[in-house]
Amino acid sequence: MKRQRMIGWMLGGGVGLSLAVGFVWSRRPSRPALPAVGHYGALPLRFNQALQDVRDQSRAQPNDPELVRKLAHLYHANRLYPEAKTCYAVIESKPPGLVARDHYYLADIAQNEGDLDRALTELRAVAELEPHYLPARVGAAEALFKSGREDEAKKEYTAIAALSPNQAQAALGLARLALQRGDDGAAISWLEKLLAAHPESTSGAALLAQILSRRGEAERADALTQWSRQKHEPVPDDPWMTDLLADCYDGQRLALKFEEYFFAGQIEEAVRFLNRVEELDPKSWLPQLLRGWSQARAHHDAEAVAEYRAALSKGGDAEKILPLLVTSLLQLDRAQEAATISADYSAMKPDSQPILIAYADAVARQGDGAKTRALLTKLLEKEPYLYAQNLSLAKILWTAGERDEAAKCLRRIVQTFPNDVASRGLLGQYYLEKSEPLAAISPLEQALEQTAAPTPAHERLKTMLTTSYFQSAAAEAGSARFAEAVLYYDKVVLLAPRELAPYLGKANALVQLKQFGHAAVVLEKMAVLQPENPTILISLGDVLYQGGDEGEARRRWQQALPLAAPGDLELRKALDHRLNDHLSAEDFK
Amino acid sequence: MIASLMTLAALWAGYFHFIRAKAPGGPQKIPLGFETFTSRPIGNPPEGQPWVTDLLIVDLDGDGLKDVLICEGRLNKVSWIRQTKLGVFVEEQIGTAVAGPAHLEVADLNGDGHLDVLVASMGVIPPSNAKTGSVVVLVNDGRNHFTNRVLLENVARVTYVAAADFNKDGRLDLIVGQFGYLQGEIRWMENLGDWKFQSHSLLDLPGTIHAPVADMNGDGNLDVVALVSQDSEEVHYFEGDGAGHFRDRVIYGSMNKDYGSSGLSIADINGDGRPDIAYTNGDGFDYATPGARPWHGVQWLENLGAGKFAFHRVGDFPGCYSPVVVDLNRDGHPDIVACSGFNDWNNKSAVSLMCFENDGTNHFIPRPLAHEPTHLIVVKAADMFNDGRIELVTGAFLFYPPYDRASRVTLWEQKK
Repeated sequence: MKRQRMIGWMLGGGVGLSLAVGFVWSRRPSRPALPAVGHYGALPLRFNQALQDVRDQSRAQPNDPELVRKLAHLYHANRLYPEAKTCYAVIESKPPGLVARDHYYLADIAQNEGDLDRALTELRAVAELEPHYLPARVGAAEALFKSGREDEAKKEYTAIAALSPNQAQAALGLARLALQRGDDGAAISWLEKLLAAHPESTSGAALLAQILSRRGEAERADALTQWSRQKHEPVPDDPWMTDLLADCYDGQRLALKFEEYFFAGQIEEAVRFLNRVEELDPKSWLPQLLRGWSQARAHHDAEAVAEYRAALSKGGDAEKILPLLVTSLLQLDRAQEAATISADYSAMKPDSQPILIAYADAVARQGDGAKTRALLTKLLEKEPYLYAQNLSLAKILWTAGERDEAAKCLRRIVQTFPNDVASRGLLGQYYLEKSEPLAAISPLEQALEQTAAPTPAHERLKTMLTTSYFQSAAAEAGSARFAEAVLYYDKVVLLAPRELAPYLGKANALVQLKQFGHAAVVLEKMAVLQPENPTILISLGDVLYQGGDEGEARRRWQQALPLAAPGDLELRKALDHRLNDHLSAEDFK
Repeated sequence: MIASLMTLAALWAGYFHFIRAKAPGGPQKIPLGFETFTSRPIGNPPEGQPWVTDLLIVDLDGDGLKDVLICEGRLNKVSWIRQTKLGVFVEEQIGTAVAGPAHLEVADLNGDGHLDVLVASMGVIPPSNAKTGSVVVLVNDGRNHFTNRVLLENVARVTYVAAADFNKDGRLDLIVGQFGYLQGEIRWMENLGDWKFQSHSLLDLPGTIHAPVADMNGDGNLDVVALVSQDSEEVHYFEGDGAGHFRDRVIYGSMNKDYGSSGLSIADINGDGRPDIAYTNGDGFDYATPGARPWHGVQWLENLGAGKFAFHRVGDFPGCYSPVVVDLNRDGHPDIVACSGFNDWNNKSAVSLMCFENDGTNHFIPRPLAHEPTHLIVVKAADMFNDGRIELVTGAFLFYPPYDRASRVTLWEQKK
């Protein structure tokens, strides 16, 4: 019995111990493991192959952190962040753990996931391990700034500036912090330092221009604005991120990097990314498109044409490529070639607007008016508000004498492009030719506002507008709307202050309105313009007389007397009539 | 014992589910997906490829029926799609031409009892650093007639304007966001009365998309939250003191200069009484190859109080624009609706309208609502017919082909 009890106790103890060990074992933190093997269909085959190769190697050498690191880089560079983080967790779990570069990459992942706190933690870890890796210090400062931790950001930027006195991002960051505090002086000082050390900093120039403009320093602001329109500033140097991108198989990401470097004028770096896109996917037409585009921007149109043609032959999107190809061909005066290739693609995609636009451009350059007209008409039926096409068609129709149809095109441009002068000028001319001066006024006023004096275009528009005002005034006067007529005559006078006709018209209108005093003022001005003209003085006298000032009226008639030519009997008779008090109401009807 | 416990748990879960499903009084939760809505165009048919830059749902004439105001960036006009009777819409232009209109708000700016229409005018929509921007108000005479009055002109392109009394003097002031291009700014315009305004600069950066007004910290003073894109990609919080002074802080910024910030709105997303911020990044405009990017999508900034905000990513959505916080499926939790202006439209399965359904714990499940029409740049939500159901209205901005599934203004009605 005693023995049985002992066995029972031993068995029970054994079970209890096993349960306890099992419990403790299940609660221990599990060691991280590599991500499950997967196939990423959205990424190129070469990526999946590269991934598989590294997986195979790491299976053969499970304790080699460099292989796990390589895996992490592959995942990270291709935006597979959860997998990348898992790999870094594996590295961290075994000695020697994470190195500075690992922390830097983890910071990049955190930034991309919007976790600025975690990014900051990682960047600070980098700074501890590699205090002189500036991109990490700059990244930490930016993470602080973008988290609203201004005081800490300022400390960090200041520390960077102490390490590297001409560091561009630190200067810009400190300028922005100063602006947030309302300290324009400090901001300007930092930006001036930045531009002195880095004249290529277009964002610095743009910000300084904005501040100076706000403070009323227009001239310097304008100069800086012009400067800020130069090419984009250089992409900051970051060797660790550049290394990471060597593992990138994402064509779109590489293409965007190409653009970034291209716009900054860093062509060698840009081409590197383009070559990689091509290497990864030899069938892709994107590298040819981008190469052609960059050649065209550098005015190497022959090379651009070759690239665009190669892109098309690879099955590239004709709607994207053909317009660029045609532009380059036209730059090279190869309109026939442009028209032929456009016709082919237009036949394949008759409803494509980009292709139709390119085709119409090519045919217009060839000088085939009838065909151009047909294409433009078809195009504008689909998309009525294209600028260049409406203007081209308007000119064709105008030359053919179909002014009403041309006016429709011009009205569409006027509706859609508030600053366009050419369409407004032509529309004004159209309305004047149709004897609709009132309709001409609005487009001509808008056009004149946009042109600087004195230029031929400005003078021509001014002349047309003056005519429009004058004819409108006459029309209003003819309809007995004399107040409206006066307003238009005033506008004519503003534009053509030395012309007599508007003064005369205005005076007549004012007389009709029985505003004799105002009419007299107008006639006085005419008398100044033509002091030897007796008719003006007679009219002035008449108006004064009607206004009740007979004495002054008489004086003016007497002034006219010696100016009347001896042989002008009619004029002398009129003067006699007045000076001998023979005037009556009948004379002023 | 374990079996008993499990049985008890199952019974409890079943009981709970039964009680929830049969709870009387509340509307039934609506499943969200491609079958949720029918759509139809409202307003005039398109002329060419529409460039609807913004729309607003508002009862403009106070007749109890909600209307839609739209601005067309290419045709330079603001139109009123008026609901003349329930479900019937008629469009007319209001005011005269406004160059490159980009944003609309309504306010009774002159205190005459009628809603005026504020228009942010870029001058030209495509990228330009020229000073073509202006702020225009279409003054409502109360008889459905609107007259243009320019309040600000010849400045960096204006993309946002709204009215609020920032200095508590009884007059509505204006917050103005100017995207510009290389230069831009945010200013507030103090209303001095008699249509006179004095400008006060708040930020010297280009790229402002939206700058809505709200009391973010509950101190009784109006603040401004602005989304600033271009190379900044930041959300700025201008804390107001009620006397017209503001303190600017960045509360979140992406370190990806190509983030593509595209829209921001303010709403209490987690129901804690504090206004939060929903914002989208989906702009793929200014590149050699315009279109979608893998980092496009929706996020929200949770207002933690004391000026602190926490970032939460909601979900990915290429070309994403126009976040709208609304309980679309009537389950009591605010969802986030957004549209896509820059997706890969050659791919017929690319989504153009999406709802991120809030599961009740502020986690969001993406529920695609439509693949077409495409190129949707703005979406707004409202109960258009006063029947307790939420309708959506979208506007299209067709900048690059293909144009085979185009639209202009579309009304989305929930199927009964």
